[in-house]
Amino acid sequence: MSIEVQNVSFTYQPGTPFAATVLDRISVTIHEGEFVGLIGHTGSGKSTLIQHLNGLLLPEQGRVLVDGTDTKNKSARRAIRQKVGLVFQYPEHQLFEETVAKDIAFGPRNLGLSEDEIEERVNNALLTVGLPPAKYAQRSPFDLSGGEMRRVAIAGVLAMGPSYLVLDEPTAGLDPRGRDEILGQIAQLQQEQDLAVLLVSHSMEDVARLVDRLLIMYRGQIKVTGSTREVFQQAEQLKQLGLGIPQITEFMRSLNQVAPEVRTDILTVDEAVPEILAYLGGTGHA
Amino acid sequence: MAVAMFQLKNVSYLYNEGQPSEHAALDNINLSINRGEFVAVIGHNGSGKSTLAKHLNALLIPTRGTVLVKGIDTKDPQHLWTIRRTAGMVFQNPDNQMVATAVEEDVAFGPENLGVPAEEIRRRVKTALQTVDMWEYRKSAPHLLSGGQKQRVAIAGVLAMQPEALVLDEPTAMLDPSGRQEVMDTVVRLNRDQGITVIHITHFMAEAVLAGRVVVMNEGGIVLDGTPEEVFSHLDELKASGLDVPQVTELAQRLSKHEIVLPSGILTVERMVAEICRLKSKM
Repeated sequence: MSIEVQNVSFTYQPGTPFAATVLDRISVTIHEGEFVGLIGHTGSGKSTLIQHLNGLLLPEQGRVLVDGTDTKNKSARRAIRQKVGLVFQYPEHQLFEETVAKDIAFGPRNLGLSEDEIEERVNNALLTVGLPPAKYAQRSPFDLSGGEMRRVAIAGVLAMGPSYLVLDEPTAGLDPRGRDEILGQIAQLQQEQDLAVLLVSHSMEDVARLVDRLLIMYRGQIKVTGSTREVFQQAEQLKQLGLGIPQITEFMRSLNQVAPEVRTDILTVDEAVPEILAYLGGTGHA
Repeated sequence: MAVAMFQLKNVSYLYNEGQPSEHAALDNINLSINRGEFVAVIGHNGSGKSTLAKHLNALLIPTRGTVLVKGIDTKDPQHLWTIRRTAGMVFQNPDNQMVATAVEEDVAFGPENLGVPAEEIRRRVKTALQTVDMWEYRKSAPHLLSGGQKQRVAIAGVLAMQPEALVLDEPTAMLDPSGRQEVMDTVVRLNRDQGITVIHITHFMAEAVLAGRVVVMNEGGIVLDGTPEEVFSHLDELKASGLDVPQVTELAQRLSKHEIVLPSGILTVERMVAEICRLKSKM
């Protein structure tokens, strides 16, 4: 089971003087249960690509298969939207119901589920995003803090029971605490429920500690792909694409210039501590 | 002694005063900011930092205590426009700050409202757009610009009012890394080259490091106030306030628990490499 993007190209306003090719022969596969990061600066085509994954946009050339079904297949569109949950940037702007529970129930209700099943899904989704149903279900979504509203919006997508969860910068505008809460819940969800997650992010520090594999987009193409560790080893190439690496990785690379024995493929502070202790010697590994 | 640019004396601000939902967004704040300073104010959402910013140009008036802008009390309605001209504000969402259909008209909007003569407006618009490096976009429609460009136009709009201080309320929160960089380069330059006093509200620690002084807010109060080096050496307090520290700062602190003694307040890769090498050479 996987989402397969096969040689997909997409142009906005084709045939006009404003035609802009935003996806240029992209091929990529998202496997069941994996945690993938998608980075690239604004205008690189990230948002356009993710809208292809659940059939919101259809490729001009090439095709997208979700568990083997072509997104161009109209009769399968509803099933595809259910399988691939898409959380847009600032998803809290899409909340509209009187209560948190009604807002989350909106999608499942359209699936034609029983009321009991809907309620169970709403409660489970709220628990998953760390908002106890007893406290939150009957509140107005508009009385919540920004971080809580965003978690309600994510719960609405989770209540659809997706196999693939695609999040477009889920922490934009949140403070460090709100960011850590949401990312922690996403990581837990990915592990415990065997959900495939595609995380679009601008934060190298966040993807470094979370995802298994990275896709780097540049001008409508996937320029670099590989395990997170491999990709952050290619600092020069990332710089050419206007991207950086985590500060801790940059530090290890700089230190390596004067101390060739230290590793350069460090991704987190946790990994750096024993490495520096070993380099300085005497105090032993932590 | 010169009059401070901003002086806050025992300032409290209550939302919903007298109601059950009463809440002190600012709780007895004392703060003095001098002309030419670059102060970063950091704190998590709800810590009171935006409420503080809005007191600096009389968008909000304190419930208790006094805010003086160049010695003028913000409670005095007679001097409201003097205060607003002295301290210009830039907000988080660039799309809510654009009023005109072309960049140059947008920048001219403020001085036009002040009744500045047309020739002088043209001169100010040009200077302001050149300062933020957006002069070549003067005929562009604001909605076609990137987030970073829009914020630079918003800053130019404030500069055209010739303020002595800029108060930026999370101007980079909605921008991508290159947009953030553009805005920060502009802000740093305005402070350094033109001596404009800058109050920069943010929760990006990489931005706070660029300031000369960092003020940390939590629960409506000021919990830390000092140079970036001093403030970021209080790692535990920062984390308790829901804030980040640079990864090298955290690394230095973690190493100290293994009896590796490094000076406090290491903020940059270069400094950390130098300190590790210095330690190694002593072994």
